[in-house]
Amino acid sequence: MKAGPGGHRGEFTAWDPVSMRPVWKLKERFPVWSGALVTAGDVVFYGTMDGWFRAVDARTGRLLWRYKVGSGIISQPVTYRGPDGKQYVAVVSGVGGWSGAIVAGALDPRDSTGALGFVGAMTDLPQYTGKGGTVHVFALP
Amino acid sequence: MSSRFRNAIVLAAVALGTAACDREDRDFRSAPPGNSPTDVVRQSPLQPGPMVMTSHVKNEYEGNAYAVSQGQRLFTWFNCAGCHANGGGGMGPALMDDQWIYGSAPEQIYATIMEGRPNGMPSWAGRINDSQAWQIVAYVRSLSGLTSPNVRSARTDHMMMNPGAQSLASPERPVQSTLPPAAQQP
Repeated sequence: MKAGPGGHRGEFTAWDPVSMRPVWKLKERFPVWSGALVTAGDVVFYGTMDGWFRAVDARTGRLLWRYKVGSGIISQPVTYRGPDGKQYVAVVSGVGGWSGAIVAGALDPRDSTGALGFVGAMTDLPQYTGKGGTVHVFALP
Repeated sequence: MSSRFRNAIVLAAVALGTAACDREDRDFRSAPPGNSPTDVVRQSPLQPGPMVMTSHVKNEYEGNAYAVSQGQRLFTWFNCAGCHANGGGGMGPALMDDQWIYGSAPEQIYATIMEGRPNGMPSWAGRINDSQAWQIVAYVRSLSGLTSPNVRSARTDHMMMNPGAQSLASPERPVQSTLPPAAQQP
């Protein structure tokens, strides 16, 4: 498995389903394996496999905030109202899955056929992240 | 030079040549090494009480290029590659690195194949015969450079990360695994 044309491996895209075209795109270093979360205030949260948790403007894609966590994010961010009435956003950091198998399974990057070929596209992931497993909860201002 | 002396040199050369051919020898009659080790295969010399040192079983196939290449074929045919890829691992651990959960000695790898291991490795006892299992053991050990490079079988082209990776001029060494900076203790 190889990166796409231009070395592309991941992109976070906002689609306009009515006009069937992307509104904005954010290129990422690795596949964006996390889920996306949009709050009622038009803020999009998503995580990257190199360990950034980002908040961007849902209309423009402008980066509003980012936070480096201990390991790559492949989980689904969630939001909830706490018993204190505040809104929180929670996400689990801890890289893995098919694309993160090279880190989670300590696979050998010299064999590009490892993990059914995904190791070949992710040989540099161990330089960006290690194993992890942490829940991060952020309070919205 | 006397003809007798010359004959002696020719004889010596022939003897040397045939000795070197052991590498490719196809021995169909000898029993496989350490036919099903009867002792419990230990993964560590550590135990309660006095330390017990056990000697490792010698796998005759390790010095034989034919047996190692047979091991490579069997590795594919029994679908070892389904989990271990071509040594880099996948659902199963990598075999070409220096990390051995259940030991790297021939009898330890043999026990791993025949008895299975928790969380995924099935037992192949009764499905692979002894000599084939030992050929796979020889191939698995060759992946991480634990056997002589002289009998190593060639890897397939798609495994070459860079040209000349297979040449004996730049033999592979098992790389010491190091933790990435992000995973190191502060």
